[in-house]
Formats: sequence, structure tokens, C-alpha cells
Amino acid sequence: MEDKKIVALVGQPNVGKTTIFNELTGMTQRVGNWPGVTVEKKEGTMAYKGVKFHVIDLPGIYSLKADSLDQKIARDFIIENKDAIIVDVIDTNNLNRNLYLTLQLIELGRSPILCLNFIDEAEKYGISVDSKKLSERLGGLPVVKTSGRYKIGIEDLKEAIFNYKPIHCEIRYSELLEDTVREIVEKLEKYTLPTEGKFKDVPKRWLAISFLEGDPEVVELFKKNEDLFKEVKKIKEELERKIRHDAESYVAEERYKKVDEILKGIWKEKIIFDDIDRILLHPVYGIAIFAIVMYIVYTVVIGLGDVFIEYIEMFFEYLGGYLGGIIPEPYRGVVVEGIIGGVGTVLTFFPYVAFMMLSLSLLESVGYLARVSALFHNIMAKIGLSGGSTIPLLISFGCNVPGILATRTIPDPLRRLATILVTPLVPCSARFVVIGFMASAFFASHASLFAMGIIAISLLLLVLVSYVVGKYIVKGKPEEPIFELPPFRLPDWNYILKRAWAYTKHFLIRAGTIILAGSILFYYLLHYPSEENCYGMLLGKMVEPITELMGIDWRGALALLAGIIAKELVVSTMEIAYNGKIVEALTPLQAFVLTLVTVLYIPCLATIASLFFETGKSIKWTLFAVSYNLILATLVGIVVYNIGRLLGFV
Amino acid sequence: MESLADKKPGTYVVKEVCGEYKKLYDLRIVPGTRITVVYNERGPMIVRVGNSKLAIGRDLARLIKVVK
Ligand SMILES: Nc1nc2c(ncn2[C@@H]2O[C@H](COP(=O)(O)OP(=O)(O)O)[C@@H](O)[C@H]2O)c(=O)[nH]1
Repeated sequence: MEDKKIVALVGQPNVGKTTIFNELTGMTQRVGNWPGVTVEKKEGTMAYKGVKFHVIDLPGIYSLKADSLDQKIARDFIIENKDAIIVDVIDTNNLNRNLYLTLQLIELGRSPILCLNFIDEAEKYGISVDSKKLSERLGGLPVVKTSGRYKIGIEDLKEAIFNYKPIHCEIRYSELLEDTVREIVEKLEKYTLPTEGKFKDVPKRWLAISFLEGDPEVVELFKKNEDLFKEVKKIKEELERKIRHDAESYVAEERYKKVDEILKGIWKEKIIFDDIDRILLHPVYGIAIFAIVMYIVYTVVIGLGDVFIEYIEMFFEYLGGYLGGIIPEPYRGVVVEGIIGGVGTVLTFFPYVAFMMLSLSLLESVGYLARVSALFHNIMAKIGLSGGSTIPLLISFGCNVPGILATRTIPDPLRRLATILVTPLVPCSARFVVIGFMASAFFASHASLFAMGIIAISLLLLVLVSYVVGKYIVKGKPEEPIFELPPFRLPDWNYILKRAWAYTKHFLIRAGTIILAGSILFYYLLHYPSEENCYGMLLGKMVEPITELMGIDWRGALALLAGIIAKELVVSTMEIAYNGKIVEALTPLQAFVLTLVTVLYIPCLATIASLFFETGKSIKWTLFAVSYNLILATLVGIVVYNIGRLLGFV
Repeated sequence: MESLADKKPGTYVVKEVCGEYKKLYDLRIVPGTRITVVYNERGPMIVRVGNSKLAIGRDLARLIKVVK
């Protein structure tokens, strides 16, 4: 890997970067995390004419300033990898905004390859661009036209990467700005700054411009030399006096002016107009449409899911019977009851998860999810979250872990923290396994009513907790909302399947690893030293005094303990603990309470881990999230059980 | 000068961006940019800047001063 050249994809959000990345790397990609943070890092290999390249997909960013986590990651990577070949992916329809980032890359001393993507749409709408002239005006940067979706120009892009040679490229702004920059550069040459650290090799011109822009990291760096800081501050103030407003917006204006100058006569803009957003974002019609969409999704997921689930159940029943016949006695129990009982029960729910993720990816791909954020901003703001919280919370229905990761798109750190803290209250697919299992075991004739009831209670608590958290715990001004609404597009099935697979894969991996291991572990806990007097009983009895208040005996308590590892284990452990005869062991009220508590109590280990990392490794916030969930579950469990008994249920 | 928040559908030119909201610059909302109000009744306003469509909360729109 070390000798391979690095190719880094840079671009604004929604420019089709991921699609280009998939085209370049095919099946070789791996998804990991950036060091220290859980922002997704996608890497892969591209082979072209016998040469291998290491391709990295950087997070989508609007600019190179270090004022959000994504922007910092992308920028640090570009600064630290001086020799990386940078491919600047651009939405041709929005060329005049996208070049803003290109100019920043050039300021940083890079000569990116420009990848004019969405060329298919641009041509359809009659937006033309003269790529030869564009290249000339940018000092000779390679410019390639592509369509990631229709696989146009991918070979040209590979060829451009293969032939890439860095060139010196400089774009000059107005005289006033250039003079100011020169003055600052002179000061930088006069005074010394600490030479270690990531900024040691960046162009001084870039440092000067970034200082004028108020880049927090560069300002910090300059502050390390007090004399320097005093002088450059004076220069900046002088500039601001001349232009009569702040330097920051001046730099931005200058860049856009330059962009317009570059594009003059070689790019024709056409407004792509559609009208439907005024209905989709309308506070009444919009929400009605959202409700209908979600209802359809729910019906389709359950309807299609049920068809498949029947076959999966049949398969595991058959497998259990078959293996039971051929496996020697000492292992029969653990295989048939432990592994097939545990993992099999969990896998039965795979179709629901897969169809749910497929539906979400479809809604995302056509552009509907972006509308949902804007639509819900006002409601979310009322309960202390933000419009940007909507998608993370929707994703959390699949799994809380990617839901928590998705919060990084929320720009306001306080709203982001609040969203992370309440995410565990969204019932995830693992909890749907428990809900579904209990529903079919105890409430077969009212299964969806039961499921809806449990979900409604946990969402109600989510609203309450968000409100309390926003009001008393993570206080702060509500964030000012601004959302980009990408154009509606026909679904790209290739992309949707890939996306949905990325999510559902985790479900399968979990079944094959943690659920498998947990099933075996809890099988033995329940059978050793003997079935009547096992370690599991000991463990369960330790918790029983509390769970008894909610009508749950030591078996249920043990299942809950197992569920901390992964919520699906509640089901598999109960299967084993009650010997498959759970219906006789619990009353409907107990079953209801047990389900409710499972949905609400301590988040699973994976969620706790993401909570920890995404709150900036804060033990305080992680403990807070875990303990409020536990307390809430205990209280709700006790209250519901006792009310139920008073009402005459047993 | 009037703010974007009070504008009927139509095209305007940004004169000034008040306050410290830097993301607006990234979205090309800087003095001199032409901005088109598509919808301004209930819910967030919908505007266009070039070929990108944005939904903006009304309080934020008040910070954007425009002329015809
Ligand atoms: N028509 C068209 N659609 C594209 C093209 N590239 C990507 N898309 C679609 O644009 C959407 C966003 O693409 P994605 O790769 O996720 O963008 P990213 O946010 O930059 O990573 C998806 O629905 C893609 O199918 C393209 O060149 N032409």
C-alpha cells in the first residue's frame, strides 16, 4: 500500500462523489473510521494500465475552513498528504458554487483534477461548459467531464489520474486583497512561527488568506507569536476600514467574483425549475404527505417482509430438526436450542430490516429525505432538536449506531449533542425483533396494535426527554436552519441497493458474531453446572429484586442482562431460558412490560460505544445517556405493571 | 434596506449579510449574488441561488438584506 499513489476525492455534498468513488474502485472498497473520530472513511484500490492507486473518499464539504468536523478532516488530510492526487468532483449544474472550493484548493498550493460530474443532466437542461477554456483559465488544470450514474467519462478520469503531474497554479484576486495578503506574508517572513505541526509546509499566501477569513486554527497559530499577531491584526483592521465591512465576507465575495470571471462566456447557467417543494414543505400538506409516505413504507415493509419470513422460519425449523437428528448428544442442545434457536430467531427478522433500509435508501436517493429535514425543523426546534435531527432519528429506526453517526451533519454542536443523547429512545431493528417476537407469541390477533403501542410510548418518551434535555441540560439558542434541497431524481437502483446493503450488512454480521457468541454463552450460563442450579440463575437473581417490581422473574432479568450486549439476545436468551415455552411462562401483562423495558433500558454496547466517541469521548454524557435510559425503563416498567394490575390484568 | 424574509417571489440582489452565520457564504449568499424567492408563505422560505435550491428559516432570512 505504501508505494501506491494516493488519490483523494474532494467535493461539496451531493456532487456524486460516492458514485464516482464506486466507479473508480469497484468491489475493492473498505469502510473504516478516521482516526479518533467515527466519521466514515471509505478507501479502495483503482488499477489502471497496470498501476495501482489508493483511492480515498473524503467527506463532502462546502469549503476548506476548519469550522465543522467534516471540513477539518478533509482539510487535514489534504494538508498532510502533499503528494496525493486530488480529484475535485463538481456538480456541473452548480459549477459557479463548486469552483469556490476549487479556488481554495489552489490557494492551498494544490493542482486538482476537475471532474465535471452530472454532465448528463447538464446536457439535458442545456447547460454547456467549455472544458478546454476552463482548464486554460485555471492555469492548465486537467478537466474531465463525467456522469457517475451513467458511467460516462470514467475512463477519461482514470486516464487523467494516470497521467497526472502537479503543476504550479495561482489565481489572483483584486489588487486590494492581494496587497493585503502580501503585507501579511511579509510579516510571516519577518517573524518566526512554531515550525512543527501540520502547517509547516503550507503556502504562506494560504495562511494569510485563511487568517483574513478568521479560520480558527490559523488564528490560533498566529497567536503563538504575539508581535506577529498584533501586526497582522492591524493589517486586517486596515483592510476592513477600507472596505467598510468584515474581511471574512470580503474574501468570500472575492472568490465568487473570480469564479464568475473564470466562467464568463464558457458556462451557461439554466435554472432547473420545479414547483412541488411548496407543497412538500408546507406545514400542513407536507406533514400529511410525510404521514402517507411513511404509512406506505410501513405497509410495504411488513407486507413484503411477511412473505419472506415464513420461508425463513420454515428453513430454520427444518434445519433444527435435521441437525437434531445427526448431532451427538453433548452438543445437540447448544446447536439446536442455543445457536439455531438464538441466531435463527434473530435472522427471521432480516427481511423487515432489509426492506426498511431499502425504503429509506430509496427515499434518500430520490431526494425526499432532504425535504423531511426542512419540513420538520420547526417541530424539532420546539422539542430542543433541529431539522437536521430528523434523518439521524429516521436512520436510527434501522440501527442507532449509524443514526448517531449521521448526527455529524448537524452543524450546531449543542443540537447535535442533544440528538445523540435521545437517539437510544428510537426503537431500532434489533428491538423490532423483540417486539415482533413478543407480538406473535402473545398478541397474535393484535400484533400491529401491540407494536404500535410500544413504539408510540417510546417516541412519546423521546419527545419528553428531548424537551427536558433541550431545556435544562444542553441549553443554547436554537440553530438557524438552512437546508439545501437537491433536485428530485429518478431512483438509481444500483446506488440504492448498495446503500441499503451497507446498512443491512451490519445486521447479518451481528447475527454471525455477537449474537452467535452471546447465544452460546447464555446457553451455557443456563445449563451449567446443571439446569436447575445454573450460573444464569445466580446472575438473574441478582437483578430480580428490581425486575420483580415489574413482574419479571430471574429468567426475564437474565434476558435483559443479555440484551445489553445486543438487544436481539433478549429473544434468544428467553427462548433458551423458558425452554421455548415462553407463552405458558408469562402473562400478557408481563410480556408487555418486558417488551417495553427491553425497548427502553440501557442501549446496546455498540450504541454505547458510538455515544462515547461521538460525544467527543465524554464519559459524562455517555453515563448520562445510559443512566437516564435505565431509570426511565425501570420507572415505566414499574408504573405500567402496577397500573395494569390495578386495571385487572394479571 | 429590506430583508429577504419580507419578500414576495421574485429575484433580488443580496446587499449585505448581517450576523455571524458563515455557512451562508459557503452557499454563495454573499453581497452581489442574485437570489430568487420561490415561495414565502408558511413553513420555511424556499429560495434559489444559481441552480441550488435552499430552504431557509425565517429568522435567518431576516439577516439577509436585499434590493430589487
Ligand atoms: N444524473 C446523475 N445522477 C448522479 C450522478 N452522480 C451521482 N448521481 C446521483 O446523485 C445522488 C447523490 O450521489 P452521491 O454519489 O451519493 O453524492 P455525494 O453526496 O457527493 O457522495 C445519487 O442519487 C446518485 O445516483 C451523475 O453523474 N448523473
